Amino acid sequence: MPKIKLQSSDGETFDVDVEIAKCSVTIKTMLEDLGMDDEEEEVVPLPNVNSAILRKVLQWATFHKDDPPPPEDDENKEKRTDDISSWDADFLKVDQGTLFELILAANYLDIKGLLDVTCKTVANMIKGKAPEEIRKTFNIKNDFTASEEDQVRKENEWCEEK
Amino acid sequence: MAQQYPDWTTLPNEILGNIFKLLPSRDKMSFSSTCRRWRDAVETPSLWKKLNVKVDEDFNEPSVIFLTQNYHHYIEELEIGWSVPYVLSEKVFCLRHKETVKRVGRFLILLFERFVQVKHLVIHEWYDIYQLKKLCYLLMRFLKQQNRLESLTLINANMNEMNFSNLLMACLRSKSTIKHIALHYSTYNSRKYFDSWNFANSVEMFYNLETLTIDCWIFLLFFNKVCILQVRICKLKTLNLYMDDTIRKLDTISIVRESQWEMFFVYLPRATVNLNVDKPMRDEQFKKIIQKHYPLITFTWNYPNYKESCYVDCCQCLERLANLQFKTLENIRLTLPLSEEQLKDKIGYIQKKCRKVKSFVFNNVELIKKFTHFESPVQNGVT
Repeated sequence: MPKIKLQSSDGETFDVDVEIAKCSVTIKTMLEDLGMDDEEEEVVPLPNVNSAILRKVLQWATFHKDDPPPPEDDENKEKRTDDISSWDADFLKVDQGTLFELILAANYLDIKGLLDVTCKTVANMIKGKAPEEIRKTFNIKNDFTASEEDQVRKENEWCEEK
Repeated sequence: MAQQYPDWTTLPNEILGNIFKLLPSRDKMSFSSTCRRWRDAVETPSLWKKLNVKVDEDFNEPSVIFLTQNYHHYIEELEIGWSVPYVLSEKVFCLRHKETVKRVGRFLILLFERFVQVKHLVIHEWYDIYQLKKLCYLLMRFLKQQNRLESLTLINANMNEMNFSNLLMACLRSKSTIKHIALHYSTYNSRKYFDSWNFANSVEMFYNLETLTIDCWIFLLFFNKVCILQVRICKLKTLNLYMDDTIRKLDTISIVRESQWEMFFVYLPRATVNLNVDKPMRDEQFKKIIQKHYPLITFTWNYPNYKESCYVDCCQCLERLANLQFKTLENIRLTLPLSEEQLKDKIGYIQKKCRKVKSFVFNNVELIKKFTHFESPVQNGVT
């Protein structure tokens, strides 16, 4: 199987099957646009992804290489977050830093399946939590002023009144 | 080891939107009140363009109303209905819960008061139960206010006394913008209130109407009046006709006469027909709806269960279809409790008589591809 070299931001190169690398739409288009397909020893630089994350991404892509192509986004379809496969769930048992980097990498490399499953993981971390708990989970500072918070509270009351 | 936190507020809007879309409305509310950055990310029109609310699921607490209040100006499509088809069960009981009904009411009032204008309105699985008349009234009032509606879709929406004519009259302000009307299987309760005279008249008002999706029996009554009233629906391109089990006796319905069928091209000059049958059918029923006078493009027949008479019925109906020699027929989809082998003659006969057929799917197998694939040397000789 033909291979290509992917170079991470910190200079490490990875030998990858072209078919696996092509699950990234970004790489696929790059190869097609630049006609890099048949060139030997071509190195594709990925300046936005470091080696640790690229290794993870490739691990994910290798496991999912035979998956059917993801369906087009259907707005009508019910959005679910409880359908993460057990392999993916294990794969995503990582610290928040890695999860965060994986989302950015999936977005940059345009790997829909990986982006979906990482976003679902974050959504699951948000579900059922009050704003204060969300801030605690993700270490986010509350930057609303007291009066803004008051206003939100009032609006909420309108919905419940009568 | 202490966890290193990344800065979650720096995610691009698109990704925050992706995550947001996955949340139920209560969590959406929390999400938007976490920090300024996240709240700003939620101000993305595409996240709100389509609002899909389920009466029995989304109003157990008021967050949908809160979100609608803040983001109603982005809403372009509204879909409202029950989450499941109606069964007289605990679902109904839960709807009687005063708080839930009250919230749905507040939601509809909010839409009305904020003058929300949608392009597409879908009402599905709606049941006009005694206690919920008020909701139906509020929904009608909202509909009446719309002035740029493009499509109105009712799927299994059963509004007892709100018959279809009233419903269409409620869309009067959108009469120039409406292009698609679908009243699909929505007739279970409202049949006795159906007034075909008014219906034909009201459909005529929508002079830009391009697609009309209705049950067969409505169409027969409607077309009969169209002929009498000489209603012309000039821009109608697609007529989707559905026939299901809710009407058992087609005979009880006044039948369109041969001379009226001949006027199809006059009153519906551009219309092509897609016929969908979802029930067992005998030849005498079939001949009332299948007509050589209209341009049939797609014929779909799902024959649900095996019956003793089904072989004879299917043969007769398919033979009738073939004998009409439609020059327009392009797609045939049959799902019958019989094998291809049993109906081989009829299938071949249809293909011989209707030469324009591009796709013939029998029990989920495409036959045309199969033929051309194996017999490609015999090019026009597909029989």
